[in-house]
Amino acid sequence: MSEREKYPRSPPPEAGAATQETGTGPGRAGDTGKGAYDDEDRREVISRLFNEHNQSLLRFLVTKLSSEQEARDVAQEAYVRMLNLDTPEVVSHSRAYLFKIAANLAIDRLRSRTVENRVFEFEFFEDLPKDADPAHGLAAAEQVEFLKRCIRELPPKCRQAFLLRRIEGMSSSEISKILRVPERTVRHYIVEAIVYCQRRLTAEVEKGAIGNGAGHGP
Amino acid sequence: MERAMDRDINTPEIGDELRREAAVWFERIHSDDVSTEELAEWQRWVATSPAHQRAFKDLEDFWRIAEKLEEPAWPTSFELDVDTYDASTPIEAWRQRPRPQARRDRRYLHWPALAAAFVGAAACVAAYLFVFRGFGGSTEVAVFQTASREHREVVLKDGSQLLLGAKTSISINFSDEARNVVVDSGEAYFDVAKDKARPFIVRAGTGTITATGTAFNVEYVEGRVDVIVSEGSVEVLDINLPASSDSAGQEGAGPMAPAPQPTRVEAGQRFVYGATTVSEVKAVDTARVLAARKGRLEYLGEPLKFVVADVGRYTDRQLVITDPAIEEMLYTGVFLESEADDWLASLPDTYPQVEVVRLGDKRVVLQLRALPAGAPHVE
Repeated sequence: MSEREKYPRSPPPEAGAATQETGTGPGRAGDTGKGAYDDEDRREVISRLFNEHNQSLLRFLVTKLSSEQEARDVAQEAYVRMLNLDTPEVVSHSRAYLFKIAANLAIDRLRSRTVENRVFEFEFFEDLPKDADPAHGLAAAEQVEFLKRCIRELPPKCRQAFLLRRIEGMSSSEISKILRVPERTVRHYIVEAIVYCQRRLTAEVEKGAIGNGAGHGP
Repeated sequence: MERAMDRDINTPEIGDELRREAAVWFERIHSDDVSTEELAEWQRWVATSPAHQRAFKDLEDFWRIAEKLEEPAWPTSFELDVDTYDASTPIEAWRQRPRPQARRDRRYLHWPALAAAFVGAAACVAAYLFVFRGFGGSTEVAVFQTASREHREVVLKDGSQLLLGAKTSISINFSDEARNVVVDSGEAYFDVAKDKARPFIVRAGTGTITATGTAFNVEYVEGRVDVIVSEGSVEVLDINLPASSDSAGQEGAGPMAPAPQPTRVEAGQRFVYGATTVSEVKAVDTARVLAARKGRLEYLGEPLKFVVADVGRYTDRQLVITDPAIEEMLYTGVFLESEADDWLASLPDTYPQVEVVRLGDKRVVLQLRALPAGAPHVE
């Protein structure tokens, strides 16, 4: 699997195109005067997007959805929407736009999840490590265990903010209402919690106290 | 999909500053209101250097590891109350601050008890309503359910008006002989249209409440049925009392046969029955009933168990009391249903020995606070 990821420095998207709705009409070739050329052009751009950014997009979506299967579904749907967009200009700054469409789709999906779905998700994830190296699974378990310890070390509100985001999937504004602190502070809590735990965890792995999970890499 | 862990952690150039930058981006782009411009900016940031790219990927991996956290140590309300950290300094610095020698009062929840309490409580409260009409004449069969915090007014075919409280489920089955209503759970206020030929019979828990032209409130929570009459009168028959042989399984077909010793409850009276309650008629301020219709909850020396059950219908969270001593504490007070969450949060003000612990956005646990030996530490 290619680890190579290019991030060409394209100009920022134009505001007009960037704020439009994601779900537009079919936008078939021939709808505009430019016709088939645009359509083909668009396909090519999207296929390039796929080749260069699919991994990044999937990681982005897995972070949101906690499910690789759903991440793939949403990514696929995002590409389809890109293909069907009415405005061909979109292809010129398509990368951020693709992520925006995908983010919206993922949010819709999260909102429509019921309690039952969530339980199912959880079970689904129990199965995940089977395609991974067993050493990796063990290392991951050790890391989770250590992370639990790190989390106990966090200041209470900061810990609460981090857990509400990570475990309950709450937004910063929701957390801000619960903790009765400004939303900005919630974001800082989450950032500081991440920095602290990540550093503790990395140091522990480097010390060799727990496996790094990257044991026999290619 | 690549594995979550294939990263090179031995990269000295990823320091705290870069990690923090990555975390700021991460927090930003995973906010629901992220803009396309911000995503483009983030992508440019990632593209700036391989170190940025790796720092971000490390973070995504970290996030996935954190997903597997089970039963993390949620802070207690006490810890939250005394916490003064405002994220203006790194956590390292906060941890190294001078502090009094008193140990932190860290209590963990009694998980087995909680787990048991949560089992079977995963009910999804979707509000739905299906009504089958057109059986002609006076028949009507329907089920009404309300979601948390939702009130619903229903006018039945006979002209009776129902006001359903939150998280309530009732079904009705009107025939030519009787108007049968079953309160499966929750609370409903009935303003019954007069119809001498067809008694209005409400089944709740182990008993029935029969009315003709009357207004009354029925609440069925925690196995207890609470009937308050504001107009006219009703007759209540609890099969757990002097038993009436045929009323137990009766699905409300046909009028109630005259049963031995029904209890008459008049306007301004309250009657409570249920497996663990001694049933007796008491005078009550019917303003309480009317208050409930206006979104107010009023209690006079009510066991906390029932108050919490009411509050539970006006919050999205599942409320769990872990200690029977809390259930029996008596509560007197008035508050709005819309303030259910605030009421919960302020409970320790009224009962200092009660601790309210949030477990994410789904559950709230009421437990007894273990009073630490000596004064709790104060920052």
